[in-house]
Amino acid sequence: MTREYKTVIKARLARLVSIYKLSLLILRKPFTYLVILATILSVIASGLNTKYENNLVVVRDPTITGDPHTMLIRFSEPVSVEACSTLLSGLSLGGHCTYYYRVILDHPYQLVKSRKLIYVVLGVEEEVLKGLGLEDGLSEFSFGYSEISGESATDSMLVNSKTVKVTLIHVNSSLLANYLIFYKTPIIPVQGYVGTEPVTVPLQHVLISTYDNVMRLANISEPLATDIVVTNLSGFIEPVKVFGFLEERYPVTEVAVTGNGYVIYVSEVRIPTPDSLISAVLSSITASIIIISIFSSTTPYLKELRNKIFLMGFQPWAMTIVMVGYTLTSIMFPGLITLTYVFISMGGASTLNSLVTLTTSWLTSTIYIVLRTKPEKLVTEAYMPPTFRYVLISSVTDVRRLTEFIVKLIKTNEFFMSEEVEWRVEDNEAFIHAKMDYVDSWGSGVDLTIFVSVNGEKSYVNISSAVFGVEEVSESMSRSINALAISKIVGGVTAWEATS
Amino acid sequence: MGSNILMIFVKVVTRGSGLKVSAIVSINLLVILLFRNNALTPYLTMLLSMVASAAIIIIDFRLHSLLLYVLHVYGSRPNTVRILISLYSLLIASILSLPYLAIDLMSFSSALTSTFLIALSTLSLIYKNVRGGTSITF
Repeated sequence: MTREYKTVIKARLARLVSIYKLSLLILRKPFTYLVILATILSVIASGLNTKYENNLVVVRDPTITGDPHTMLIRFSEPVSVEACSTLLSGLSLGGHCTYYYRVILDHPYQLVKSRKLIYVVLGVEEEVLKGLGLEDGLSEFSFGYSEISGESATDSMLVNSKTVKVTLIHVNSSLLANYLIFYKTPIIPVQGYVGTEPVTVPLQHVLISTYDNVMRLANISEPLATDIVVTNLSGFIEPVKVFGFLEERYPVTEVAVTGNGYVIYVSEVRIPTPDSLISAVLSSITASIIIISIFSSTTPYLKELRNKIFLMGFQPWAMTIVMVGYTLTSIMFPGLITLTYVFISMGGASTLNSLVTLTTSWLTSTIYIVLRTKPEKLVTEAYMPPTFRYVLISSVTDVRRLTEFIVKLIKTNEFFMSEEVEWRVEDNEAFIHAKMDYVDSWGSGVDLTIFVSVNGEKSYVNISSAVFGVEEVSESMSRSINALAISKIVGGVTAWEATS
Repeated sequence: MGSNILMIFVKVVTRGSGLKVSAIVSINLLVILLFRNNALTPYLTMLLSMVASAAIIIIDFRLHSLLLYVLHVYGSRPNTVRILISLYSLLIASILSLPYLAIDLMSFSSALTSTFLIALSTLSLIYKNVRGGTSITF
C-alpha cells in the first residue's frame, strides 16, 4: 500500500469519525427520547388498529355448471371427520360429505421388493376407489399402486422401521393422475405450480387405499381427514361465513365454493382492510407532526452546529449524512425493533400497517430535517476565501498559545498531510511556515506563510498561501485547496476563541 | 398594563406552534379513535398525546422564555406569570384531551382521569422547564 493511499484512507476515516461524533452529539439531546417514543407508540397504535379480512378470490369460468353447489374445505393438519357434520348442523345446511386423507410424509415408507419410496398415502372412500377402477374394493393392507406391471403383487413395506406385508393392486395411472376432487384440484397433493398448472407428486411415490387401511397403516384410531368435499349443498353459502365458523374449531386453511360459472376461494392469508390503512396513515401523520415539530424547534441549534462544522472545513453533505444517520438511529432503528414485536405479537397484517406508519414517518421527518439544515445556497454558506491572503483579527493576545493552536490546526487538517511545519515566536510576534500535501490529489498542495502579531488587545493573523502542483493545477482545484487550508485555520481559531 | 399582558399572552398562544400542533394531533387521534378496533388503542393514543404534550414544551420553549422576559419588563408579579403559563398549558392539555371527551364520556371515565393527569403533567413540566431555562428570578 502506497504512502499516499494510506494518507487518503486515514483522512477519510477521520471524516467518518467526526461525522459519527456529531451524530452522537445530537443523539444525546433530550428531544431524541421524544422522537423515539413518538415512533414506537405510533407503530404500535397502527399495528393495534389493524383490521384484516381473509383473502377472497373469485374465479370466473363459464364451464362450471354447479347447481347445486359444491364446497371444498382444506385443513393444515388432519382433523376428525366429524368436522363436516358439525359444519352442516352448525350452519343449518344440507349436503353430502366426502372425506380425503392426503398426506405428504416427512419420512417416506419403503417398498422393499420394488425398491420404491412412498411419499404420499391417500385414504379415500369406496365411491372414489370405484371412480378409479377399483370396483372390487381393497382388503386389509391392500393398496392401489400404478407402478406395478401385473394386476397385483405382494411386497413388504418399511413403515417407521416396522415391516408390513402389503398387497399392491394395479390402478390406472392416467385415471389416478387426472382424478379431481374439486375444481382444478387433483386427488394427488400439489407440490407447486408451473404457471397455472399444478405439479403433483410423481405416481411412483403414491399409494391409495380405503380409509380403514390408511388409518391402520398410520396407526390412527379414529378416522381423520385433511380435505372434505361437500356435494349437493342445499343452498349457496358464503365461504367467508364457513371459514369463520370452522376457524374457531379446526385448523382450516382454505374454503372454496363452486357455483354457476364461478369459484370463490377464501384462504387463511389475511390482508388489511382499507379502514385499517387509513388508521396507519393517520398514525404516521401524528408521528410525523410530533417529530417534525420537535425538529422544527431544534432547527436553530442544528443550523448553528452546521455553521460550526463548515468553519472546521466539513463539506456541505456532511450535515446531510449526520441528519440521515440521526433519523435512522432515532426513528428507523427503534421502529424496526417495535415492528419485530408487532410481527411476533400481532401477525403479518398488523406488521404491514405498522411498516406503512414507520416508513412514512421516517421519510417525511428525514426529508424535512435534511431540507431545513441544508445550506440555502452553497456559495453564500460555504466559506470560500476570495484571495490567497487573509487577515484574521482575534481577541486572543497570548501569542504563544495562539501560534501553538494554529500549528495544531495545520497538523490536524484532514485534507492535508503536513510535510513541513516550522514556527518561531519572538516577543509579540510569531512566524509559521507550513508545506502541506493535498491528500485527494497526488503531487499538489499548499505552502502557507502565517505571521501573527499582538498589538494591544487584539492579535492579527496574516495568512498567505501559495498552491503548488507537480502538474498544472486547475483554477477551481487551486481555489478548493486554498479554501480548505485557510478555512480550517480561520474557522478553528474563531471557534476556539468563542469556546475558550 | 393588564390589557398589554393579555395581548402578549394572546400573541404567544396564536403565534406559537404548540397550539397548532396540539390541534392537528388531536384531530388525528380523534379519527384514529373513531376507527379503533382494539381496546388498547385509546390508552396507547393517550400515551402518544402525552409525548405530544412533552414535545410542545420543547417546541414553545423559546417563546415561553421570551414571554417571561417580556412580562417581567412589564412589571408583572410572579403569580401573574404562573397563572398565564398555567392557562396556556391547560389550553394545550384540553385540546389534547378533546378526542377522549368527544368519543364517549362514559366509557372512557378512566381514560378521562388519565387525560387530566396529562394536563397536570404538562402544566408542571412546562413550568419547570421555563423556570429552569431562564435566569430570571422573581
